[in-house]
Amino acid sequence: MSVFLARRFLSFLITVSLASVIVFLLLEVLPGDPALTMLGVDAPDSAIEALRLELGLDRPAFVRYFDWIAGLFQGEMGLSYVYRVPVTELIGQRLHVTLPLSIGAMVVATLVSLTLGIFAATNHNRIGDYGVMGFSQLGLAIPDFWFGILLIILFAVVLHLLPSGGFPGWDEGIWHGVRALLLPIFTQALSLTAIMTRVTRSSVLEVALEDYVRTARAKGLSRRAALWRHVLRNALVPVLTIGGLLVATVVTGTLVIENVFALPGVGKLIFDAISNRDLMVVKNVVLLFAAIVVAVNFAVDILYAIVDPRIRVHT
Amino acid sequence: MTTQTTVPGFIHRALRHRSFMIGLIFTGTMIFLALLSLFWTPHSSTEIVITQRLKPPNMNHWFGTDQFGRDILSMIMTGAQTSIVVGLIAVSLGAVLGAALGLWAAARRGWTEDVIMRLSDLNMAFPVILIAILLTAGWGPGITNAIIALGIFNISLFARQVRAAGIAMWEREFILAARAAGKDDLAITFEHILPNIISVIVVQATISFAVAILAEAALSYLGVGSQPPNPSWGRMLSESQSYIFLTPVIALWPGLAIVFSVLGLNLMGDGLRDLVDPRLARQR
Repeated sequence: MSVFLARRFLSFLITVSLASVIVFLLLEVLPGDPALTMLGVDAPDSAIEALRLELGLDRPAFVRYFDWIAGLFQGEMGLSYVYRVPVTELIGQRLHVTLPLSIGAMVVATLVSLTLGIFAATNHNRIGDYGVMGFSQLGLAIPDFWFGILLIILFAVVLHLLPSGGFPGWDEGIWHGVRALLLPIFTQALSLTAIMTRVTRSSVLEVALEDYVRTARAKGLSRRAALWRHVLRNALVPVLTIGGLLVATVVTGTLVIENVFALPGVGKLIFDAISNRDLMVVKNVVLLFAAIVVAVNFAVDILYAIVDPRIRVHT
Repeated sequence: MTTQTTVPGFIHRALRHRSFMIGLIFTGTMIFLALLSLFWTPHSSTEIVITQRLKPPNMNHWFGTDQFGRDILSMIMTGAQTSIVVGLIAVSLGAVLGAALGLWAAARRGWTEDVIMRLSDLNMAFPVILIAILLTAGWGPGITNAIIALGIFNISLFARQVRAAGIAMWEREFILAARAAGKDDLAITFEHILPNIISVIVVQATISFAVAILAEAALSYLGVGSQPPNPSWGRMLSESQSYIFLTPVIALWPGLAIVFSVLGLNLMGDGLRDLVDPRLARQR
């Protein structure tokens, strides 16, 4: 196990390092002069020169790259060019929205998809099963941002029950914050639920055909007892894996959802940074997201190897 | 995995496969409307008629008009072109490069395979939207970004699928026979491996096409994809959002068009998978 762990960790480190090189190359080297990218071609030469000095662009690219990485190890991401505050601080503030949104969506999706998936599997090839599968097929085809717009039309425009967007901040009281996040959470949860429902259903169906389940039934266990005691425990392994991998989908999904509901989260931050050409923010946020995706895959690999020892031997 | 069915037999089974046929009809409709819009649309999709702005659906404008008085049905038809072109180029790019890498990894194994798989891990670290953000921040927004981002993302997807299928194929006995007959890796790959796993590629391409349509719409919605005046479903939705308190109905059509196309491609892909691999169909 320790060899497997070490190998996987090494490959995690290499992947994140290479990702940082790619981010740096794509933002600061290949497009040309970053100062020009940030200020635009119409900017006066003096301003461009000043920014060049500020960013230390007179130094070779690889020196700047290592400076950036060294800074990251000390928890420094540099100053946002537009807001003039440390990028870490900006991200920290925005996480107050992005984190509850992601976690909320994950919780809703897990609860709903387990319920639906198990229901569909236990009603295999009956009307309930078809209904659930139809829902999941539709959930995969509906763009999440459009679903968000539909929810806004229903709950904000027609019923006047929930706000159409924006975020009052947690200082206004927890309920106000939760109210603002309800629609975004359900929007984000739709496609996750669709995928996880399918996986839960097929996994429960597959395990239910195993010999040990038949044995359990043969020794007199009721269908329900066999389901809870033998089927679900084993059927949840693939669901766990997919759920883990979907964390990456959630994290990038918030980029879109926050823009639908005008929520001041990390996703809004990065798109504002693109229109403001705030490369410092773009660079660090993109690397942060890429690192999260790689870290989640790493964690899922490890979890999976713990649950299923055969994996360790084969990789 | 090998399908020994003849072409007429395949068509016969396909015609009786319900979800495949529904998918085929949906997808066919989308492609037909896109092709038709090259020659004819009910109105111009770009002409601004301010007196006709935000009209509800009527006899003249079946889907109504947008905030500039443009005909929404015509815009949806022209927007289908954008979705199809982006999906087609991005998926072809991913399929050709990814399949080549996957075949190579399966044929060579060893460190070649290791390098290709690690590169694919790296590729996975950048979901479509992150690649598009990087490209847009560096080079400015544009439809090319969406195509490149989706293409790159698809490479590793295809490489993984083709590698796995290829490795399984290399272990078959007829490969041993081919090798005994003196064929080298390259000849075996193109004469025996590729023809036998082409179905894997086709199924993945169909699903990837659906994902590409969703992603293109999302990128255009966020302003980092297709740019005006080129009609795109995603941008139509983002523009319509400012008017949902006035005319919510204009936010319906582009979304329905996306759902219709994606649903069609997904159903077709699922159906194809059943048709080329009947064992999977029985398990469901």
